[in-house]
This record gives sequence, structure tokens and C-alpha cells, in this order.
Amino acid sequence: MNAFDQLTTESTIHRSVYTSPTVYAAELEQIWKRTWLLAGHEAELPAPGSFKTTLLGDQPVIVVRDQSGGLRVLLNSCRHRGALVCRDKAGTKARFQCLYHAWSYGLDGTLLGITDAAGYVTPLSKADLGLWALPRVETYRGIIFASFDPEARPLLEHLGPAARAHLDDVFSTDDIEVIGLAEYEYRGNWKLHPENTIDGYHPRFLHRIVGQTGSFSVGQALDLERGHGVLAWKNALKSPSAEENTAVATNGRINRAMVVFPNMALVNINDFINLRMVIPLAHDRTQISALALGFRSDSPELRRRRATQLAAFQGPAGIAGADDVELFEAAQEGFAANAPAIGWLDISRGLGRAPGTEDLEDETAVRGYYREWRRLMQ
Amino acid sequence: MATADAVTAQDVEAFLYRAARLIDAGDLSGWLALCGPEMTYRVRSVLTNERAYDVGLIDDDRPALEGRIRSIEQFWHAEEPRTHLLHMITNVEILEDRGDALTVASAVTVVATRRERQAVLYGRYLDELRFVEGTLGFTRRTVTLETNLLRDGKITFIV
Repeated sequence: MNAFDQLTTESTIHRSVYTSPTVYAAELEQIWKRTWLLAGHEAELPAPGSFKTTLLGDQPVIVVRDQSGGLRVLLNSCRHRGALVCRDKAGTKARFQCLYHAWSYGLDGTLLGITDAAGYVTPLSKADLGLWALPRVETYRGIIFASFDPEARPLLEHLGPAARAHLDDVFSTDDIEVIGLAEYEYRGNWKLHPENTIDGYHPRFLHRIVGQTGSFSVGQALDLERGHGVLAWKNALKSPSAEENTAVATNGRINRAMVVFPNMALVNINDFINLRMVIPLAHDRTQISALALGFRSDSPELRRRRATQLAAFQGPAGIAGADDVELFEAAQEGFAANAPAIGWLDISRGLGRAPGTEDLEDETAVRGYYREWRRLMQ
Repeated sequence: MATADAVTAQDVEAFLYRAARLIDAGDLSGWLALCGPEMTYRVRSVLTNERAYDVGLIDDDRPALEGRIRSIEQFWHAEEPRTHLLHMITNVEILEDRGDALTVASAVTVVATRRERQAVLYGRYLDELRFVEGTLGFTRRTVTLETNLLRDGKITFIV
């Protein structure tokens, strides 16, 4: 096999990037343990003691708001014999306790108690046995990011001004509320989800109902640098409700499908806002955890539109969402065809177009994503 | 034929079985004909219900449901080839009988087979039924799936 950074170029991707367990194992170390990762949204953790459990890469973590209101991301593994210290999906707790020998930990990960500590003839040092905490946790516009790398550049720098401007526009006020959560798996590589989110070439073909309306055309696919990218367009996708179409046609909002490298996708079309976290399970299996967001100031009518549009379009039973999953699995199955002459996939659409003239259907943002992948995989 | 005065549990069961048979036979127009103009069809997960979230998996009014059937029949690549379905309904119980309208609870197992794969979804129906010209029909169906995680990534059929 080539060196990992030889597996993609500015215009091509080798199929093994999706199919090789060796590449996947390297990604877990070189990408998931090094860069900033989406860990959730502050709206999921409203009060001290609020927590959720998830995976960052292959690492089980607890994302928790501690007693002082700070955010922590702790490895969900007892320092004694390694079992999970929290088996709930989400909720509120005063502390975390291992089920095996009942060691307990505070919300900040501090080891609070060792049961029958006198049995340790050589006393253990409680101060050294707290839950392992990710060294970096920062937020932007309420979105929680964490990194395993103490030397990771500041989050603001990682996001960069272009990506931040899009996030500022979507989350212009801070009264954000979680209004839904959908979790689903697909049998395909984890990168298929983010790259599809910023592929503006596919909607009118994969999502045939979009092609029929012919309304997905005026916009741009933009490389936001550092691996981030966005599709931004002004006109709405056709909704099943004529009333909604009229409302959207007149409000002049910008629709966005955005990726923050490597594991965050944000889709804001018409009224719905869907923040999706990519969880890799294996080289050919992925879980998506998709938060539906709204604002506390939403009118009941607006809240209703956010709910129905998301379910009808982007969710796993939606017009687009279901066929995206069909595509991820058809792609992963197709990648098995890997004769030397056909090993390379093409991402050159629009390559060479002058900056500022990108078309919505160019693969500009996909190329940007893989440029960052290549940098980290060196 | 069932009448509002003398509906029996057997009438209700026969109606639910017939609706299931139409879906399984791919006769979605036939199934839609059992749904009134005010029909709402919602599918939620147990988690969505526990946390009282606004957004479920499916949240269709009658026009959206008609659109969903068009997606199944014409637009979804994920329904080429079509999913073969078996709906099994048990635990049928009339919770409330208001004369011309009924609230009926039941349990459903949906076996979905497509492209050498088989998925099984378990759930509960909460149905609102109404007599229209002496015939039972749906005005609301709410499905609560006994899962928080869709292992098969998508739902492209009528649960």
C-alpha cells in the first residue's frame, strides 16, 4: 500500500480510503486523536450535572456540565478495572459510579471514593486516578468541540473566519433548544456522510424529487479552508406544502449544507436546522447522531414547520435522508470493485474554476475536505 | 358491516388486518383510501416520546403522506427494488369507544426484506378510527418504535 497521504490527490481518491481497515486504524490515531471533534451542543446540557454519553472516534466519552457550569469531556472508563462509569444515554447526575466495585467520580472526573480503601495495603493515590479528561474543550456559538491533543490550535483558529461566519449566521441568537434527536447507522465508511453533505452535484439526481422541481441550482460550493466546506444557495427546495414554498420564496434566507472537518455536518434548509455528528464504528460502519435544533423564541407555527420539514426532507425517513443512506451503502458495496486500473475515484468537477466563481455543483468543498485529510494523514 | 352502534373488537381487528394486508401487497392507494382527509401519520422512537421532542421520524399530514407514497412508488432509489413487507399486528385493544370514533392500541412487528437483507421493526400503534358512511377509517395513526437507533439507517415504507 502507498503511504496514506498518497491515497488522495487534489482530483482523486483511492478506494482503499473507504475500504481498508488499515487506513481506518490510522485515521483513528492521526485524525480523530489530533484535530478538533464535534462533541455536541450546549443546549443538550442545560444545567450542572447534565450529561450525555457518546463516542468520539472509537473512544467512549461522557460530555458533562460540571458543578461550576464548565464543560468536560471525560473518558467513560473506570480507572480501576475499566468498565463504563455511566451507562445512561443522557440525563442529570450528581456523580458517576462504576457498577463493578462502586468507585465513584465527581462531575469534573475527580475520583471521590474507593470502596473499602483500607484493603489497599499500599494506598492508592486518588489524585492520580480521576477519569481521564480530554485536555481541550471549547465552544463556538454553543457547539461543543473537544480534542485529544493538548497542543491543538485554538478552536477559533481551527474553524477560521469563513466557517465561523456561516455558523454566526445560522446561530445568530443563543436561545437554542434541542427539538429532536435521530440516531441511525449505515453500512459504509464514515467519510461518506460528510463528503455527501457538501456534494452539490448529487441532489437533482440522487434525490429525484429535487431534480423534478429544478429549484436546486443557484448557489456555490465553497472551500472554507482547514477541511471545512459549505454548499450555500438561496432558493428553497420544494416542500410538500405549497404554503411553505411561498413562505420560503419570500424570506430570502440562505440555505446551507456545511461540514466542519472531520465529524460535523450542519444542514439548514428552509426552517429546519440539523446538526449531525459522525461516529465511526468500523471502516465500513458508521452511526449518525442528528440533533434537530430550534430557538426558544420560536412561535408554535415555526416550531411545527421546523419539525415537519426536517422529518419530511432530511431525517432517515425523509425524501433526501433515506436516499443518502441508500447511496452510502451502494457506494461502499461498489468500492469492492478495486482492480488496479479502476482504483481511483474522481473529485475534479469544477477544478480550475477561478475562486469566487464556484458553481453549486462543483466538488470544491469535497476537495477541501480531503486536502485536510491528506495533511493529517502524512 | 360494522356500525357505530355495535362495533366489536373483531370488526376493529379485521380492519387493522386489512390495512396491513394492503400495505404488504404494495397497494398503497388502497391503504390511503382507508385514511380520511384529516389523516395524520406519525412515526416516533421511544426516545423521541420520552423526551417529548417535537421532531419525530415521520410527521405527515394527508398531503405529506400522499407525497410519501409518491416517493415510495416513483422517487426513492431506496425503494428500487421495493421493500417486501410483512406487518403482524397483535395486542389489539379498544381503549375508548366514543360512538362514531374509537381509540385503538395494538402492537406491530414489521419484517422488511430487501436486497438479501432483513430488518425487523417492533412498535406500537395508537390509532384513531372513525366511521365514515358505516365504514371504519383512520383519522390518525401514531407509531412508536421500540428502538432509539435505526440499525438500517432509513425507513422508506409505511410502518
